[in-house]
Amino acid sequence: MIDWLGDPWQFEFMRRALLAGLLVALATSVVGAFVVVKGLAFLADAVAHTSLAGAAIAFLAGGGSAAISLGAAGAAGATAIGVSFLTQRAHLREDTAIALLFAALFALGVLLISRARNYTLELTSFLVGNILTVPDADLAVMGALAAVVLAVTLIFYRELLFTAYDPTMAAASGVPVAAVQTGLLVLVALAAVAAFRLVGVVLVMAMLVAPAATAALIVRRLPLIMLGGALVGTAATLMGLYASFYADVAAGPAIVVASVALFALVLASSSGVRMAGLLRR
Amino acid sequence: MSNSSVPSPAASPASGGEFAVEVVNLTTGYRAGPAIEDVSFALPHGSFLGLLGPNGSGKSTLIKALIGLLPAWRGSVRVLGMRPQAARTRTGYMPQAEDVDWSFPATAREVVAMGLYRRSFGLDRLRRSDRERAMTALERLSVAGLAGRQIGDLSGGQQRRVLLARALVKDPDVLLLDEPTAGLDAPAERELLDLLGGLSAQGTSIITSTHDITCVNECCDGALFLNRTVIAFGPPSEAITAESLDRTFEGHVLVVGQGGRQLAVAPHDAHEHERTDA
Repeated sequence: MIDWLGDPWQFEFMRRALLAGLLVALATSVVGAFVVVKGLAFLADAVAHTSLAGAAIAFLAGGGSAAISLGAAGAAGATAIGVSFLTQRAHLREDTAIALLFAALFALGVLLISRARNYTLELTSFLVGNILTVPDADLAVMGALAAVVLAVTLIFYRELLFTAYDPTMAAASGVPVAAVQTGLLVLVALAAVAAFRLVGVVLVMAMLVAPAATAALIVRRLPLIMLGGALVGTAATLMGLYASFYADVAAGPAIVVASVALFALVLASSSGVRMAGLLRR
Repeated sequence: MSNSSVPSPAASPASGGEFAVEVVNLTTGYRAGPAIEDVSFALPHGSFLGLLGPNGSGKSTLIKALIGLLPAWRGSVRVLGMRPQAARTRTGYMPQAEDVDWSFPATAREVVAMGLYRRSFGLDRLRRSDRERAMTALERLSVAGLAGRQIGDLSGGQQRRVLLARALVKDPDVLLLDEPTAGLDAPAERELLDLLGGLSAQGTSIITSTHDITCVNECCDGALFLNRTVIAFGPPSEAITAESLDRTFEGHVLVVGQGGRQLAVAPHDAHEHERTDA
């Protein structure tokens, strides 16, 4: 049994994958708490997909993995700021603005990658991630992104909390609400880029939503949802990596399936507890 | 201007400016167009003003202009002799309860502490005294026992108290309340109004929008009828007339004579009555 649990970690690539998973779980759960509470899932998904355009540009220009991550961060950040601009200045409905940028930049990304020689192979690795071959540069980028997301959230926690809870009142108290809202979208973008090498652009949204949503079933304070989300994300990463190691399946999708399975499990047991409570009454 | 001001029961010498609130020829609104036009009134320190008008008459718009959320398109707004934004540290604001996200995962104490927000980038961002000040504000409204509860789990009356505690936590000189009693039952409304009356007696200047004409008549020392512009302004005994009611509510208000007392029923209530009669 101990061997079974310990075996995978004899391998360097598995240890690196675990470290990458931990960094991503940290970044996504902190931002994910806001995504879940404020209903920003569609935006998070769009930001993740549009990061492909920036990653593709860096990739075709012959950039290494750090450049690709930077390109992805650039495109994702541009989407976040673009959505803010279109809703706040051009007065478009938010879902319309998101859909426009989502479609345009994701299509641009696929279009650019179609110029590559190993088109299908490269596209697949962008779309579903490749956690088992994470190079040092990617780990460094993930670490930096996670650190930035954590630090900014900690420093501006009051502003983020106040704006998320009650933007009108926050503005009346002197919080620069428009800047804070745009800032939150940029944080979502940075967390999405951190997760993008792990699970791919298509499944980033699951990492942003599932762990925080699972934590929100159990605890009802924002900091606890962040902490709980990080724990759930870490557990899902472990489960996914074991599945990948022993069942020889793709690690990224396995992590996502595990995180949603954890959500279902907690939902079932918490509603089971509630049902039992009602029956006892 | 001076002839259109309410006599002051307790002027507060500590406050800047001749008036707590002074609005001159104010026009403002939203993208769709102006919501209030050419509004003028001046409120002495320590007054308790009831803002009356039907839905869409511009009550919330006026309050938002006073807190500095909407800029003046024309005219001017002075709060404690300052621009509304500059007066924010001494102004408390309570939004309509229906505008608040009650499902948000926050405790009553966290919500009250938000009222202490100030822009700063130093270490005082982490001041612990905020917690104690939030508790003091909750105690003042006798809901300290709810400090750790989720806001979504509170009753309507308790939620209003938490919002009011947030507006009061800075000990403001001017208190701006948007429909604080809407949706409350009669005893809860009475309790809240008594509390506001007490604050007003201590020198806090209060402006509250409401549908309840009777409560303005009984609790406030000033009444302002608003329907896109000022219809009537003065002490309740002078401002509340059949004519101002008729012009403000455009005939949708019921004035009932009853044993020498006149009862006015605003549209909300009238609607309720129709429904119960049917």
